[in-house]
Amino acid sequence: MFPLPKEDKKVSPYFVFYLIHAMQIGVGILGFERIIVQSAGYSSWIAILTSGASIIGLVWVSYRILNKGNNDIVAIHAEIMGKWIGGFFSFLFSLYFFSFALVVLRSYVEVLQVWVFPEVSEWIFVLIIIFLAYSYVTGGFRVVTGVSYLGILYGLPLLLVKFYPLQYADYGNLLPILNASPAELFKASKEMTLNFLGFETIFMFYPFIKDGPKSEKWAYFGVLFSIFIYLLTAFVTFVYYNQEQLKGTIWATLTLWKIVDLIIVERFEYIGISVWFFTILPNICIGLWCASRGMNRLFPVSQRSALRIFSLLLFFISVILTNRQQIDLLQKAVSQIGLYTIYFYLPCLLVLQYIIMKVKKG
Amino acid sequence: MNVKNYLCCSLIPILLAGCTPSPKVLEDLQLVQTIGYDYVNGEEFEGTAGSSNIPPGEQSLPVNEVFTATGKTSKRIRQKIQAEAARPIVIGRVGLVIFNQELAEHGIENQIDSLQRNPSIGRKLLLVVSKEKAKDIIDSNYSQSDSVSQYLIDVVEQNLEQTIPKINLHRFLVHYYSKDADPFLPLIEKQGKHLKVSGLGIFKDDKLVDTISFGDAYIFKILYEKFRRGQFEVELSGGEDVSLENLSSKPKIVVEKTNGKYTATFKVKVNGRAMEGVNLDLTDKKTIERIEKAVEKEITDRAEKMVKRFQELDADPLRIGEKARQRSDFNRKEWKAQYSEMEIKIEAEVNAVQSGIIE
Repeated sequence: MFPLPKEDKKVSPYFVFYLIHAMQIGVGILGFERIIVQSAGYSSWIAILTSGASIIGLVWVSYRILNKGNNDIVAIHAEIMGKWIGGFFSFLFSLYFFSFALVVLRSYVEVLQVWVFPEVSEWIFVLIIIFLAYSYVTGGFRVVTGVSYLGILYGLPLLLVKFYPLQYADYGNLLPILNASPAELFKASKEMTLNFLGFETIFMFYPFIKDGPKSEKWAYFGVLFSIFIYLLTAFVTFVYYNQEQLKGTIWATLTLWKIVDLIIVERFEYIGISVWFFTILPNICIGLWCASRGMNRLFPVSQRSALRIFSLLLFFISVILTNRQQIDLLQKAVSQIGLYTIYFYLPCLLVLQYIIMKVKKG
Repeated sequence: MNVKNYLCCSLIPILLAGCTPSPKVLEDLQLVQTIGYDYVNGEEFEGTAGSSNIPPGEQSLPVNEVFTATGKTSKRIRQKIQAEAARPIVIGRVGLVIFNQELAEHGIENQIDSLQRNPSIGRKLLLVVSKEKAKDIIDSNYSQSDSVSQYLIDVVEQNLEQTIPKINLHRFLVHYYSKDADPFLPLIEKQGKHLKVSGLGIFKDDKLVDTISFGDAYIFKILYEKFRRGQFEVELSGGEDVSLENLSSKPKIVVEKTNGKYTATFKVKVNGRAMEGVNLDLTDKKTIERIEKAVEKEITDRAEKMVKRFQELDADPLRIGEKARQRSDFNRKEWKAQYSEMEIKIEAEVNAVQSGIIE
C-alpha cells in the first residue's frame, strides 16, 4: 500500500546532517535571545544546552520509531492505527509541516518589510519566494537536499561577522553565572525548544535516505551543530547587549549587525538579510515538500498537484496575515503544536508501536 | 531540461535585483550627516539637519545646507524639513547627533527612541551634548575645507580616541537601559572658528544632571576603560612641573559586600613615560619615584572628588552598579539605598617605564 521510493531518488545518509540542521536554523535565530532572556535572564544559555539535550533524546526516539517501521510516518500511522485514524494523524502532520513553511515565510517577509522595503506590500515578496520554493520542490527530494546543503554553506560566513560586536563586548554581563531559578530555566528551555523544531521532518523523508539506520549519527551531528550555533549566537548577543536593552529588541542578531563596519558597506544588515534568505529557503522547501508528499501518500493526488494547492494556500494565508500581532500569534500557535507533538506525541507513538508490533507478532 | 530549469531559477534573483521599488541615485538624495535637537518648550523641540551638497562641476567644494523645523516628534520635523528640501531627505548616513544642553536637561527619551527604532540608523552614531544651540553649531562656517558635518564628526571622533571615553549610540543605549548604570555623553562647545570637546555630560536616566570638565573627562576615561594615550601634568613637591605620558592604563572595579554593606574600589594601573621635566634628572630612580607618587596622588584626588560628585547626584556613569550586579548576592534595593553613601576608594598604581630618547 505504501511503496518505498526508488533507489535513484534517494540521498546518502550524511545529507541528514544538512537537512536537519537547515530545518532547525531558521528565522528563529534572528531573535530567539530575547525570548529566552525574558524567562531566565542571562543564565538562559544553560537552557540552550538542556533543551538541545532533550532534542537529542527525541531524535533517538524518532529513529527507534522509523527504524522499526522502516517507512515514513504515513505508513507507520497506517500500520499502527489503521487506515482511518492513522490517516487522520498523518493528515495533521502534513498540515503541521505546511504551517512550518508558512511561519518561516511570513516571518522572513516581515523582516524584509520592516528593515529593507517598508513601502513594498508583502504579496510581492511572498509571490517571489513561493515561486522559487515551488520550482525547487518540483525538482524532487534530491534538489531540496541540495538547497539545504547550499543554504548552510551560504549562511556560514555570517558567523564571521560576530567578530565585530565582540569589540564592544562586556563579558561581565554573563555574571553571575547561575542566578535563575530551576523554574525559570525550565521555562526558558521550553521557549528554546521551539527553535530546535523542524527535525520532525525526518518522519517524512526517512525513506528517501539510502540505508536509513546509518543516518542516525548524522542526525545527532546536525542537532549538535545547531546547538553550537545557538550557543555562539546567544553568547555574542549577551555580551553585546544590556539585559534590559535586549528585552526590547525584536531581532537581536539583525540589530547586532548594525555595528558591523566594512569599508564598502555602511549598513551590513541589508546584506545579512539577503544572505539570510538562503538559510530560510530550505525551511520553506522542506516544509512544502513534506506537506505535499504527505498528501500524495494519503490521497490519490500527485505530489505536484498537492504542491500547487499548498503553494496557493501559502500565498493566500501569508497575504492575509498583515501585522506583528497576527504573525506573533501564528508563531506561537505553530510552536505550541510542535512542542506537544515532539514531547508527547512522539514518545507515545514509540510505546504504541512497540505494543502493537508485539501483539501482531504474538 | 533540468539544467534549463536550474538556470532559470538562479537567474530570477539576479533579474529581480534590478527591480527595487524606487531606485535611489546618490546624487539625487539629500544625505543628512548631522542632526541637532534644540529645546523650544515642554512639548515641542526644534530639529536641525545638516547636510552637504556637492555642486556639479569638477573640483567644486561641498556646500553646506542646513534645514530647521519645529515639531512635537522627529518624524513631524522630518516632514517639515522635507517640505523645503529640493531632494528626498535620507538619514542613513547620519554620523552625529547633537542635543542642546537645555533639551538634555529636560530629557531626551523621545529623540533616543526615534533614533534606535529607525532601521536605517546605525549603531556607531555619535551623540553629543552642546552648550550652544545645536542649530548654531551646525549652521556656521569653520576654518576647514571639509564639509561642516564631516568636520564636526571628525572633531568628536578624534576626541573619543584621545581624551574622552568612547561612546556611541550603542554604548549609550547599553548604559541607558541598564538598571545599574547611567549614561553620559561628550560635551561640545564652539570657540571662534573651531569646535571643541569640553567635557562630559552626566545623565540620570534620560536627563542631563551634571557636566564635568575636560580635565576630569580624562580621569573619567582612565577609570572607565583601558587606553593608551594622553598626558598628566603634575607639580612635584619641589615645585617643578613634569609631564607624564600615558602609554597604557587599565582600570578594574572591585565591589565587595560585607554584612550587607557594599564597598567599591577602583584599581587603576598606569604605565607612562616621563617626557617633560626641565631641570630634572629623568634617569634618576628617585626622581622617577617622585613623579610616580605625584601622578598617583593627582589621579586619586581628582577621581575621588569626581566619584563623590556622582554619588551626590545619585548617578552612576562609571557603572559601579553593573559590577555589583555581577555578584551572586546582589540586591538592587540595598544597592540603590547605599550607593550615594557608600565608600568608594581609588587605588592608582603608576609606573614610569620610559623617559624618552635622551639621557
